[in-house]
Amino acid sequence: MAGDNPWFKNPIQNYNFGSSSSHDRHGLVVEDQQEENMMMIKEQDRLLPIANVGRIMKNILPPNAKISKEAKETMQECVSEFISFVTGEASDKCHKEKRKTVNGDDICWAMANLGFDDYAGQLKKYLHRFRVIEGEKANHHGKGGPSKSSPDN
Amino acid sequence: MENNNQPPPSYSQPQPPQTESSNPHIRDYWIEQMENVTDFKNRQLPLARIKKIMKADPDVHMVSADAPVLFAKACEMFIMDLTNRSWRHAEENKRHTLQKSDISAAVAGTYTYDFLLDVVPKDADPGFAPMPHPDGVPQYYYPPGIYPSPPTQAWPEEAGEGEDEAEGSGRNGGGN
Repeated sequence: MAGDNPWFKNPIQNYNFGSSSSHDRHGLVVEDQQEENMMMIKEQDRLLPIANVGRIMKNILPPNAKISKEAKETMQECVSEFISFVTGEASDKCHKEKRKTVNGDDICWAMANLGFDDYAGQLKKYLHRFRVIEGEKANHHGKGGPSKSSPDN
Repeated sequence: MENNNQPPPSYSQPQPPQTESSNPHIRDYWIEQMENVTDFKNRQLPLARIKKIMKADPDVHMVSADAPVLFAKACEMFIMDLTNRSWRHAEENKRHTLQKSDISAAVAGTYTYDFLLDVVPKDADPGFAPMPHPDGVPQYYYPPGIYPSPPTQAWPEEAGEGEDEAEGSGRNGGGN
């Protein structure tokens, strides 16, 4: 019977999809190419793009400075950790206050709470500005024409 | 166009003297950015990806529209800050290429970055190479030039390395 054939029992485990089946990826033994591809997608999802991160780094450095690829990759990891760290703190606050949505104020609060006072202060201004400008945009679209009050700047 | 002259934000630790890659310029840049920005569709960092990272936390249910926008700016500030501090380390070592070890040094030297100590190991220094012990016990770091030998341990080694009791290699004068 076909059902007795071991090849059909666990096709993923037995079938060698890629040229290299078992190999190490970050300490985990990956059995086949398909699993590796899925892991790579998840890996990319949890990091900000290296090109964007590298560009921001480059902007702050002197023109003669170079950045190693490893340093950019490390920075990617650090930024993701920063996001997770602050989000976790903000999320805890929301949970305690029985709110489901993490908003900008929670993020600002969390940053100040975790020692990023400099960021928090400046980001509050940014957040305020975002709400004002986006609010004006919403009014603009809602009334179907230019509103009487123009943003002063 | 208003530009409030606020006192420079203080870091959590006392700072060494500023080098050419200066902080006051960064601060002015941010003040100008925060007060005069009109376009929030952040082109520096993708908002969807930021939201994905936030939602990777199982306790996070919903995220407001302003949160990723805020994080995009915060991440920019963070990257610039950490890069700046790391660069100081590179300059001290007379290098023009920023290395992972510079980032480790910056993380180790700033207490608000303690949450990164697991991400960036402290001993990531190009001068030292980790030498894995053949038995798989904790690694020891050997300065270059020193021939690695198994370190003395507090715990007894696994059988098979020391005394060849079972095999009777002939050292003990066994066997006929």
